[in-house]
Amino acid sequence: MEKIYLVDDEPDLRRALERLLRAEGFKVESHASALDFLARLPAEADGCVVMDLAMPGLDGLEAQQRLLAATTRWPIVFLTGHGDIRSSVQAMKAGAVDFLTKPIKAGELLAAVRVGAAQVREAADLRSRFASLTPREREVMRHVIAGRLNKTIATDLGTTEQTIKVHRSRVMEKLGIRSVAALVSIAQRLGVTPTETAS
Amino acid sequence: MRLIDILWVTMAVACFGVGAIHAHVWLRRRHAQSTRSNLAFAVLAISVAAMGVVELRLMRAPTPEEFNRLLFWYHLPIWSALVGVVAFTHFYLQAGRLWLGLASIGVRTVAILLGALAGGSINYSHIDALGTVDLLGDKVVAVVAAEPNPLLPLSQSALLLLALFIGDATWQLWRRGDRSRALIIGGGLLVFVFVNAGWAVTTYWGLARLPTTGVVFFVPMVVIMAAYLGIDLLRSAELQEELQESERRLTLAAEAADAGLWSLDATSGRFWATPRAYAIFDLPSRGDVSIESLLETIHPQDRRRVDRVLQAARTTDGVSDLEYRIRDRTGGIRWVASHGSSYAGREPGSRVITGVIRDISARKEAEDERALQRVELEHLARVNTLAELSGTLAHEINQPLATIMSNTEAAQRLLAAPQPDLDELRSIMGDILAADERADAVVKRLRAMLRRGPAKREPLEIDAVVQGVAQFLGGELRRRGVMPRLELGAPGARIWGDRVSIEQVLINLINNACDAMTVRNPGKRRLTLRTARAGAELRIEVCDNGAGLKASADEIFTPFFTTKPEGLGMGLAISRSILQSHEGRITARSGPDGGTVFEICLPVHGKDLSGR
Repeated sequence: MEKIYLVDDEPDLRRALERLLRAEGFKVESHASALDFLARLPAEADGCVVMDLAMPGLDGLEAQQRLLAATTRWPIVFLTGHGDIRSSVQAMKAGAVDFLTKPIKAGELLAAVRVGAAQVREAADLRSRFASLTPREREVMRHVIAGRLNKTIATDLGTTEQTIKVHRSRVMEKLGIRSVAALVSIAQRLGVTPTETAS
Repeated sequence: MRLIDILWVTMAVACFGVGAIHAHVWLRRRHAQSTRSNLAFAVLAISVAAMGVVELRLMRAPTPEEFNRLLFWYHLPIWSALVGVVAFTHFYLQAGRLWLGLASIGVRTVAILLGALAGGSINYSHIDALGTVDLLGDKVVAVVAAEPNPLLPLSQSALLLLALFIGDATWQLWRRGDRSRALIIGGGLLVFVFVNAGWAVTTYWGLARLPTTGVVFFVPMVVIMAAYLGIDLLRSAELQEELQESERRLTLAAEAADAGLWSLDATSGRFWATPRAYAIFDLPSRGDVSIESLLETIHPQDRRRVDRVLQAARTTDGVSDLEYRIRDRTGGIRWVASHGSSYAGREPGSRVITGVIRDISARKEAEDERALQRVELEHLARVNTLAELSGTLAHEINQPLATIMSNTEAAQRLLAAPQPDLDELRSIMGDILAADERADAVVKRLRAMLRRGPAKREPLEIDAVVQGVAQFLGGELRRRGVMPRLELGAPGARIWGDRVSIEQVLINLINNACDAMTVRNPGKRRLTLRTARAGAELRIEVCDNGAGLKASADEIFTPFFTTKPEGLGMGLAISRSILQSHEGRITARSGPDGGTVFEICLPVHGKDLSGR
């Protein structure tokens, strides 16, 4: 099961939420402040973050900005004492999973956490699929998402159009997708950049 | 009629006349101590009149036997005149050792008695022959040949004692600075005594043939004394006029102040009051008013308090101020202020209690009105403060509610397990209870602050109050990036006050401090709450490291003064008014790190809990 990173400055509530999430079978790691959490941040996102918006020191939105700079994307569920539309819009725009108002209903929290957990799982799955690609296949993939035709790619790589076709279908197969559009989207999520056009 | 007869009769009548007048003065006012000198003088003057009558007979005595018999009668008015002189010196001049005077009277008494026993006077054992001498162109009888009584020196030693007594009195008067009376009365008396003595010695020892003319020496004394007493009478008449005038002024002042005057003779129970005083007490101004009927008009709740003061005034001197309620005959209630004084009366052992009363119902009403307005204003300010804190307060209630909800849902999930973790469930229950108490405390405090009503005074432990407020505002302080620091240095010390009002002052000061500290970055905003005991006072300091005082330390406490765009400018004015009603004060000064220090001083109430 996925890990939950719980960040809240209120010890009572933190303990209560920890209990709830544990009862649902999640592994929970609690932090009293965002700074504390960021200091022990794992290299790769391996769980969903549940974070209070208003905290002394570093507040939730500032912590979100710092997390965006990390190598992998962290799903974040925000908690807030009072519904503040401006900060919720800002949080959602920056890719938060959800924005919950206290008192938090267990159903809402668990649903949001599950969405976050699924995102983490999906991303991990995708990363392992990407890892199974050969260097040649990755190169072909970067040409494809740059929007080039098979023929052009073959000329650039000094091989036949047929070979490129095979590589391309292997990439699609390994990543479990069918369309170029999906490939572009996945490449974006994995941080794979298209090949620059050598003019 | 011959000249001698006319002169002696005139002197006798004149002396009797003034004597009678002063005897009358004494009779009329015999209770007053001051009239004793009138009595003494009357005795002297009437005695001198009697002497004059006897002397006239002596000057015409036909035989030595008759002369001797008259001489005995002559000594009686002389004796009483002596009594008069001693008494006058004692009562009027209030000087001289009395025993000297009394000794003189005693010796004289013995001499008269011994003379009477010998069958004549103290002057002569027997008179052999009478003759005549010239006096004012007339021939009057005088002793020519006689044998002096051997007891005569005894009689004359009485004169010596009298001279000593009067000399002593004169010396005392002189030392007291009463020089004119010492010179005229004391000196005059002394001259009289010496002349008298000289005359007596010369006559009775047969050194010269002189007629018996004692009255001539006494009359000037009577005249001098009468003059002094007359001056005194005149002065007392003047005093009475002045008194009347001062009374008129007093009455005018009392009328202007709408005050009533009253006076009570504590010994006889006699009560006197001006019509205005009767009107204030709502008592009929005719007929006897007893102090009991007066106490009846006082409101039952105030009666014992008033009675206690009155009872104390019955025995001891003192001034007292009282405010109490009176129930008039229609059942209406009026407030009365009384300023009274108790002092010893003129008679020994008597006591007078007198006072001024005013109807202060209007003032009391205005005071009540003002108090009500103050309560309203304080309430308004509290509501305003709470409105400013509403975000934080919502959070303070929401937080425990969220805790309770999440804990409950966690518990439900735990219970669904085949073997629920009971330890965990127990711990959940404990947390729920704690969160509930936390929310309850916030709601209770909110309700207390929102309640409108008069202050409820009770002993308050100041450290606990400061700590409570810091806890209440904990969320707000965290939200605003302020680090609170408590330095509680008055453990157990208490004040007598209204909890909500004192908390209001502290919340207001902390709020101001937070506003002032927005010039610093969050996390660098330091708030210090300090308590300390200084003698009979408790000091509370609220220190910040904010922008500092932007106006003079006095100006900030005036109503409607504010430096905040949306401020009412009432916070500090109300804080000051609250502290004043607690007999405390509040001052502001610049802090050591550029911020502001607000200092509150309140009197310590009773013995504090630590037993210091």
